[in-house]
Amino acid sequence: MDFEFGLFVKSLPALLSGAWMTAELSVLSIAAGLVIGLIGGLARVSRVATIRAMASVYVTLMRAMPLLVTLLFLYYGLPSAGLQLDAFTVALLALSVSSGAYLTEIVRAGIQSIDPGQMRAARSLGMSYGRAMQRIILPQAIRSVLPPITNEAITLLKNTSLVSTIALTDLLRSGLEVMTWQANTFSPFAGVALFYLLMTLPLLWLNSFLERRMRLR
Amino acid sequence: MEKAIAPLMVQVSDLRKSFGRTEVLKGINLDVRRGEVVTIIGPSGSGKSTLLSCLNFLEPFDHGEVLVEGQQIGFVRTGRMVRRMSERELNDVRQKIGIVFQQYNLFAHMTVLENVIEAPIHVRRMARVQAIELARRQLAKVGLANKEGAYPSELSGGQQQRVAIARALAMEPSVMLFDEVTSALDPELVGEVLAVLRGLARDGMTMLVVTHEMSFAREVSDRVVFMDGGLVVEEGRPDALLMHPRHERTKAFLRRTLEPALEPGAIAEF
Repeated sequence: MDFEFGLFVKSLPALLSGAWMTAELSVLSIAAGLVIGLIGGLARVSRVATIRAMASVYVTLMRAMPLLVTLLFLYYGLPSAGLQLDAFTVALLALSVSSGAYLTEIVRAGIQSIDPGQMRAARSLGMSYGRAMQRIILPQAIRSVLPPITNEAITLLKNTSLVSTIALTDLLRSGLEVMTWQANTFSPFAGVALFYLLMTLPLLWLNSFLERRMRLR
Repeated sequence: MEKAIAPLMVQVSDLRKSFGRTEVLKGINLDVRRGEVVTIIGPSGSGKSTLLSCLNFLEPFDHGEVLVEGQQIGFVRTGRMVRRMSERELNDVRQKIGIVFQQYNLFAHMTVLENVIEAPIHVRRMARVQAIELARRQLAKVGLANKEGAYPSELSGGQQQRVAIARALAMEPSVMLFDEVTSALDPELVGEVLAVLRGLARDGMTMLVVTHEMSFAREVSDRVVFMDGGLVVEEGRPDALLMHPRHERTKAFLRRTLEPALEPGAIAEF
């Protein structure tokens, strides 16, 4: 084993800036993913067949495609079509549309878990479809979807490691760089693992807290 | 006012409705006058509940006409053109028609009071203070003034159903529809809900009540309608229809419902 505490400590600043990139990407793309997921989820249960079909095609495509392929396609494929985006934008875009698809399914399942009688009652009182969604259906659905949403956030955070393939210095990439100039594999990787753990653990705790609270209801 | 000459509140003519290839309503004609209590009875699958859902267009019908206070529901006829109502028009006319469901359908994330003020505030655009005042009056009417802070899950079925009635009343509808409102209740809770219905009838509310409670039909309603196979088979005053039905199908249904134990063979089966 080539673990050296000195090297481990020396690699921390570099890893920290990589971790910052990972955290930034995670937060921004889960936020964008949630917006996509809400719109997508509503589209999946829309009364308009065309809208339902479009949402369904989007979800199917994104779930069928490996995230790495989407990432590389956007980074290397799009420029040949004349659209050059910087690495950070590409990463954000790929992570958002990918998690957006999963979140769409989570939101759809949440909406469909609510008794259709709730919508009937709301409509019978003269509420519009949109208001009934906003006031009656979504507030109830949100409770059941919080645990799967945190789960998706954890998956997304770990998936950000894929952006190291498109020249973004995230946590994994900074670990790889430290490894090269230190000629030592174990120490920087211990740091990388530690940082991932530090970031995912709070989410895991939040997830199990929310699931416990769900069961108590 | 004598009910027989009161103005027409609900007019249904040649109402037809199919689910896929099954025709559930095969041309219903029914008039209800202001202040009248009409009970609809009939075997399950006869189209009673579907009829109620068509009256406020929660279930769009395929053919025919429904008028509430002379105003068309679902479709609007201008000259020879017939068009489906816009969502906004439907939301407006639905406020005239209160409906209470078998499964209560209270908003589970809201307290009793919030359930009742929700539509007055967000549909009728009432000020919150006024809506609360109105809601408290309706809750007092159904005997639940002391439960306004409770959540639906903390209430019994009978209490939940009474809140559902108060919620519908808070829209101050012209007519109330009751869709088997006691069918999901434990037997000992049926009475408290029927008592509320009796009170509403006494207050002169126009009511269409789908029910299996024959004693309610007999004692409270002005008229009983018997439906079978998507049609109104016969209608009349409760004592006449329930005691001296003319049609064979009505007789058979009443025999099954009123005296199941006396039906030939019912005892022999044991």
